[in-house]
Amino acid sequence: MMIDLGFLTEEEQEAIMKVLQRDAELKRSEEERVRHLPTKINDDIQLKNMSGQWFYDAKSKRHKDKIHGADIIRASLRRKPATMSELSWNRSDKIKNSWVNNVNKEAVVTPELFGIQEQAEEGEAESSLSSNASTVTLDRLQERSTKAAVSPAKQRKNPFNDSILPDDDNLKSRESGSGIAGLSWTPHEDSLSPSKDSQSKTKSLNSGSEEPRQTPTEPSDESQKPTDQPPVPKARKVICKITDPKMQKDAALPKLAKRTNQVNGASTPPRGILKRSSSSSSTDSEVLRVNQKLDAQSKNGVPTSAILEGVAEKNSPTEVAEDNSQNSLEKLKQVRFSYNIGESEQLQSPPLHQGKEIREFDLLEFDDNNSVSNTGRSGAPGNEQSLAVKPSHSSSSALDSNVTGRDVLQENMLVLNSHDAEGSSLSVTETSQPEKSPSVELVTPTAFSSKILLNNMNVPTVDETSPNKSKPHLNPESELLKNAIDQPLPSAKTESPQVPRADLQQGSEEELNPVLMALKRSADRKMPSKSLEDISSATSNTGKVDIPREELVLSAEDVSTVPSKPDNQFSNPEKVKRLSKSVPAFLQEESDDRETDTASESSYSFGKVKKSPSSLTNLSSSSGMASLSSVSGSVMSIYSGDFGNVDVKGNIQFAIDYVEQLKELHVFICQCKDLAIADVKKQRSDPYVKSYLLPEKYKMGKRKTSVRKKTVNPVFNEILRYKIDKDLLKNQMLNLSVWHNDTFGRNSFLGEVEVDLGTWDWNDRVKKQMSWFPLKPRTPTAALELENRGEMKVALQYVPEPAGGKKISPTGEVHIWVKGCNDLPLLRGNRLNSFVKCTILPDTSRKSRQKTRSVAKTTNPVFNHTMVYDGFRPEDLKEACVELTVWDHNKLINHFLGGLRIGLGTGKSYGTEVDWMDSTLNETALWERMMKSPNTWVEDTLPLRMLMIAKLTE
Amino acid sequence: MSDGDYDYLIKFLALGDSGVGKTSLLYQYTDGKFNSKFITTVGIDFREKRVVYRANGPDGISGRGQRIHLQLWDTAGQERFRSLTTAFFRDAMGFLLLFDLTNEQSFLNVRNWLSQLQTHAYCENPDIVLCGNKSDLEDQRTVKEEEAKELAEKYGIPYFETSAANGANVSKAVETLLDLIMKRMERNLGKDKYQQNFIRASALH
Repeated sequence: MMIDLGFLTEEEQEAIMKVLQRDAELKRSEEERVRHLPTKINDDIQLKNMSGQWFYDAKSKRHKDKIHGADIIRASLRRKPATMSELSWNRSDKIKNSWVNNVNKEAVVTPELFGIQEQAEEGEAESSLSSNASTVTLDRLQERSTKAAVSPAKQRKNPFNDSILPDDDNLKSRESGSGIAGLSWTPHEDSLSPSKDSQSKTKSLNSGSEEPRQTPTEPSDESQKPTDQPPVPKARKVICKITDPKMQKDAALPKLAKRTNQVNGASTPPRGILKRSSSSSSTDSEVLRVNQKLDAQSKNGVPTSAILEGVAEKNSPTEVAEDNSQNSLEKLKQVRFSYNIGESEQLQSPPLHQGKEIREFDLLEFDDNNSVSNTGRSGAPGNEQSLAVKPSHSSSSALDSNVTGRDVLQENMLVLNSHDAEGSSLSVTETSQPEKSPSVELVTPTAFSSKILLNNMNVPTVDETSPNKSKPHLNPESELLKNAIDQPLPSAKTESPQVPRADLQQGSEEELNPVLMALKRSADRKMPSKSLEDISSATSNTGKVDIPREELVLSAEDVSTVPSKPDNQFSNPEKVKRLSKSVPAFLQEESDDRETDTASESSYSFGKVKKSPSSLTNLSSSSGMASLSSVSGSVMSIYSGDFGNVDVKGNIQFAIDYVEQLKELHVFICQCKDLAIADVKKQRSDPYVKSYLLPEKYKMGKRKTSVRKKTVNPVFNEILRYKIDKDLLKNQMLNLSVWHNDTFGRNSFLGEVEVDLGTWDWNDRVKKQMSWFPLKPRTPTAALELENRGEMKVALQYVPEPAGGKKISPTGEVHIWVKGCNDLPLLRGNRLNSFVKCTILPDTSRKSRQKTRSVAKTTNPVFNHTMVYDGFRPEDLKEACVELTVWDHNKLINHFLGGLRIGLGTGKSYGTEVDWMDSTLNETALWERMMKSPNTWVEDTLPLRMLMIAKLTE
Repeated sequence: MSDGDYDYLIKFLALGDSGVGKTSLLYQYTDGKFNSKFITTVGIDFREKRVVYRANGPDGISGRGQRIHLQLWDTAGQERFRSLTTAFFRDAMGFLLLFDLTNEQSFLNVRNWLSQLQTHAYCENPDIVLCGNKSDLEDQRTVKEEEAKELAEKYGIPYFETSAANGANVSKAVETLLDLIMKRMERNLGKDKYQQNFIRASALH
């Protein structure tokens, strides 16, 4: 349900928020009124009318949720980075009621989101970290659930509860995307009252955590934000991973529990915004999934949760006890591992495999802990504080927890990176982000390292006792001491070694200009979600430095499908440029995701469309940098692409093993040799390895190694793990692909290897050893080959002189009546929520896009939606093309199902060669019929097809 | 403004192309004033007004007045706010769909707006009143009353030619919409009562 509001200026946002505030006040009083109604009205029906319940009932019947538009907008706005003015505004709000509080909460959430997003970015780029990010979100969710458990939910007598009070709930639920939201809410409310702070600290912690969770949804919006507000992004990188043993026991359990909750939540359909919002937040749902995966991986920690919450699904109670120990062990292990890596990369030895604790794994856990603690902290401070937080800084959340004072938060915001006494808190928040890259986690700017320690310290404290939280922050040093004592040495070790790396990796990137960074971040944020599905919106980031400005703009605004090469590779910026010029060009955002995302079509790239020379409406493509992030996508989906046009070469060495005890597939990525140079200019490649289990039936997602910089002979020595039953591997292919991690997200494909696990001899000793495999050019993904995409029944009519009859110009209208589709493919199990988007090429401006409502739960949706486009001169009909695309709308993401391009298929438009004028014979026939018989509906049922790219190639 | 001292909170939403006079019409309705200056609405806004609704009973005798608190949502007509404004469609119980009698295009777009409503409103057939605004600018009129009436009839919705400038038909349009909503509720009432009776009857047997 999130909406991309990136186009709004600060002033506009502020104005809108004020309106929403007024609305909230009205709702509050209405709620109050309704609560008292039952005492006055005995007649149920009368009561329904007077309370407005009749309306909410009807609405929920229709929309399947009770979300208020105001809430959607509010939530959408939230994601944006707060400006100072906003912050101040928030403050004023704080004073207000609980409703307001909710608002605040949301704000709080955002910071975390940032973290997540960032993590995501880094994760893709560098390693499987993304999973970490996801875990974080999970944690948050879990926390919520826990909180809920802790404090009894309020009882709302109000019939509106669902709708009205729910605002908060809805928001939360939306944000969280997990079904849990409702539960979690109440706690917040409790915590809301400032006076309660001390008492309810624990609660507040929980609640706080909830807030953060909400954020996940927002990512898309946030992505936009970053562009607007560069400052925010920087702060995030810091991570505090250290956890005290105490922490683990005390906090760990809860945390674990939380995770499970989250997981569960994920499974339950989110009530909220998330569900619907296709555009903005792909992240949430996905994140959740990811988390689940992660959980599976990280089981160690998880088990406890089962006990606590009864979620048990994944964890067995028995395991719980072990969790703590495992965690600690894992950490230790991690340390070793990292140590090995850092020092001697050659530790490739098999033993590592057996050790569960792979660095990723460990990292994940760490992150979880951290994140949890972070969330807890943030939550603790009190909802009100969270308002200040809104701005979206991750740091802010931390601040909240620590300082409790909004002021502090704000300061932090301002300072962003600056570390002060309070800075520690900042770092904490940042921790959540660490997920991105393992190395990154530990370090941010070197300066942070000290802080990190602090953070770690803080985290534990937070978890342990909310009441004392403030103290720990104050005296970071003491905490440090504590940590040193309490914590196993390993944690410290891990950090130190990794830190340097992180600095190196990130440092370079960070140095880049703020805007770019912001873009990047935004992209990153989205990443988590990507693993499951891709989000095109993230793409906006792609055009970071190298990409010509135009492209950036394009990506920002509209996304249209553009044909790409069969390979999906946007070989080089120039090509992209060309594309854009010719018409709608697509930039892809994530280059690497090809597979990742929606399995459906790997090669799609989204781009923004530029205007084309067409005579059709010229809408300003206006978007500026600001809008870049905004792609959120109501409509977009993603096609991942590979930006590079690299000749594949080289070899990869890896080993595969299935660890029966863990029920995990371990892929030990040893090294690569002689990779291609991805960045010809700089003569370098920054490779990493990504894995998938294909087809993505089980949604195991991808795993990644960290990125090795400047080398064509990277040594990874990392284990990519999948928690999956061995039986299921029989019909799976292990796809390992090597990618160049471009600083600006324009990753290049360097080659891949596919291993049929069905024929894999797990007992063959030889096969457990490292083996070299030659890298191969990309093989077509199953998704691409989706043969039957279904069909669409559509009628067209050209009305040369509309009845209204403008005097001005003799232009006609094209009416497009989308009747329905048949046999749409199911990409997500048996779920489907389809809608049709229409664009008239070459005009790809947003304005010209129209879409139908989405119809759920059927492969044969009936839309009966008529779209009218005007301004067509008869001659324009020969140059234009109606692009109808069918999408599967899933929470945050839309998956492309298939499309039509109805036009003459001449390959040209207004004299320019364009890729999209590629109508099939049937499509062309329909268009011709329409042209020949004006004022008459012509209809056909056309097979949906892949609208891609093949032509981009050249 | 809203102290909860009312019987019904009714939410309406005004929509239509940019510049047709949505804000002005609502302003005229709530405050009885008109400002000819064009100030574009930023996304969304709302105004409130308290009215008393008296239903005309079948016997022509009006019952006790119902105190209505109207929340009148004003939306930006500009395309750029579209995603934002449509999000509010679902929260309105009734709609004032405006076009500008002096702007043909705004009239042509009524269909699109209706389709938007169909998609986003709380139900498939929400209560709508069509307003051809700026009826005071008779000399600039480009949309014929017949055309508009025809369209309104086609969709089965009431049509008024309003003027936010002089107030013509403004209250009438809003009150008509209110009447539609109240009638809708009465129908609900009737239906439910009928069902209840039916249930009781069947229980007896």
